Amino acid sequence: MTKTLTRTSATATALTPVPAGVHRLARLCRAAGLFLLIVALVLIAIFPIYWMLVTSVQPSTSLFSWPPRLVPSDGVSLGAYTEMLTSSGLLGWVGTSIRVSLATASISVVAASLAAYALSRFSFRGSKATEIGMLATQMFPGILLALPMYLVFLRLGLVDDVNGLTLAYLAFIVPVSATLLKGFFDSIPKDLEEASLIDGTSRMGAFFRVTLPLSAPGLAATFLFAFIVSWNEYLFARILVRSAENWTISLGIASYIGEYVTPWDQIMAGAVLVTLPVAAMFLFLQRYLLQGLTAGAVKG
Amino acid sequence: MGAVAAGIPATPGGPAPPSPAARRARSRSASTRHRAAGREEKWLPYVLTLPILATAAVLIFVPLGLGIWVSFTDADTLSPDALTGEFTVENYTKLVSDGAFWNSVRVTVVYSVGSVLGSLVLGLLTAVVLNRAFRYRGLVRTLILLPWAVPNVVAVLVWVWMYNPQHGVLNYLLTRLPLVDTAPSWLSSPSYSMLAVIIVTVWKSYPFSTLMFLAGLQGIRHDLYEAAAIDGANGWRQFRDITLPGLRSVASVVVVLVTIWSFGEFTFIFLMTEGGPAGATETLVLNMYQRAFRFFDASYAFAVGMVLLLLAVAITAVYARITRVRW
Repeated sequence: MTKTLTRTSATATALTPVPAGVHRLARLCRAAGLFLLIVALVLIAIFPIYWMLVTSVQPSTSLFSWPPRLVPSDGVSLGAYTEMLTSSGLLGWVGTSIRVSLATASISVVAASLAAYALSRFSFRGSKATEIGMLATQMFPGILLALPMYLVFLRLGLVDDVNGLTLAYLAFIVPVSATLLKGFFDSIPKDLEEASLIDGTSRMGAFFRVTLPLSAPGLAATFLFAFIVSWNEYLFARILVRSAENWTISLGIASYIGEYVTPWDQIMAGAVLVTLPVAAMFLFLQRYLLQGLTAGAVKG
Repeated sequence: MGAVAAGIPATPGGPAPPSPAARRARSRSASTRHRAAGREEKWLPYVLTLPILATAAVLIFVPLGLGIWVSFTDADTLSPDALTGEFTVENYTKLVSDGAFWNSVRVTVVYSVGSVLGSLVLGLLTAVVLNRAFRYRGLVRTLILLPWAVPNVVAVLVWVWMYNPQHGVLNYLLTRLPLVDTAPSWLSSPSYSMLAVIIVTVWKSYPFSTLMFLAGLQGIRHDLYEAAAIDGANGWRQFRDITLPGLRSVASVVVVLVTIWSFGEFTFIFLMTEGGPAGATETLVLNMYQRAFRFFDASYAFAVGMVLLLLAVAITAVYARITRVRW
């Protein structure tokens, strides 16, 4: 793009007799404009995150000072973090969330990889419909599923139960995982499998010994994706979980909203602790997600 | 369900599979060599997809079907008894004359249009900037994507703190700007709460549009720009006549997906305003939730849900149409 732009200006110089100084000035202005635009865009993206960090290390005495301290000029305090880690329910919520997310991600990857393999390697009656159906599950609002599920789970005794929540997450995470994994399997050449089939391996043998090991990055990406989605989920947890001892991390930290006295330094400290692991996973993951995300849209 | 949805459009990834005929031919040649393996090909795919189909049947289609059924009954408790109500269409006749319902239809449209527009404009601007070569571009790209990695509940917490009318940093920064002397009480004001909710939604969702547009920009052929430059087209003309048309298909995918997500959005609105003040941010999803959990009017809540379902189906049909043409 830049190359094209410089060429544009080169052509322009050749065509119209503009003094060299004016031209340099114009280019300088454009560079400065671009720089300011980049700064503004970066600020929009990261200021809230910066503010979360700054608030979390603010000594609680200067939390409500006016004007707000835009940099932690009153010193840095880690009191909010120790408070969150020792005398709040945070660790319990993290424990529940880890349990639900690990179970959801593990089961999703197993179920999804079998289906994704079938969809990627065979054309069978109903394969197209299955594929479209998996996508369609993502298209309607979650509450249309969560509310009737609540009624069914009430009858089955699965409300306010960590396993019930896991089951609910599987309902909408397994189909996306299968969609993602199918993309990964499609990108692995069939020849390798066929070679081992000719050598007398069974279909499943070829799947387990050839395709699966080759798609390890895809499996990892799908696992992380399912983990992050269940870690961040709020609606289903809100509807299906009642008592505080079963709260996931989303329910736990959201419970501070609307409290009469709000300890914002502690809430922000909790927010940082909850965000760090999943944000790290996410940044690692986005490259893989993106390959699947954009491949289709760009071709046109 | 926003975060889930972030992954969906993955379908069309990967190289095109070989034609069914070629695949059949290949599996036939394999089966002459290995009869056992050939028979296996017949039933294996069904066995492999069984777990996922069973999950979908039990956990998606049964609840959806129950929801449709309950909306046609007189059930007025939010308990398993709701499944045994008497058939009636009263809920739907009630909807037609329900002011709160029509208000939430309007609010849903305003919220979706605002979120889509914001996400589209900010995403496009960011993508065009990121598509230029400059130093530290990789770093800037990562920073701009960060909001996407922040969990929804965390995003809400941070913004609620920033929106705080007395101690919030946002009002402090606003009053420092020239010409601005209002310090709105964002979330409790009927006129600003919608804007406040849209801002958070856009902040969380525009990195997705940025990535989509960035990929779209990289798919536009460079020689088009070179040809236009030789013909004397300036930067703006190039943007209008090459870049924008080149991004049309990506833009339509972004519009439909963000529309669907904002349609179903619950977390942002529920945690920031619970649909208030005075219904100013009560979308159909929030209306349905409040009907069910505040008034325990199960069947009426599901009738609202059916309107939501119909709208979602309509948007999905549009999406399917766009993607079939393009992919």
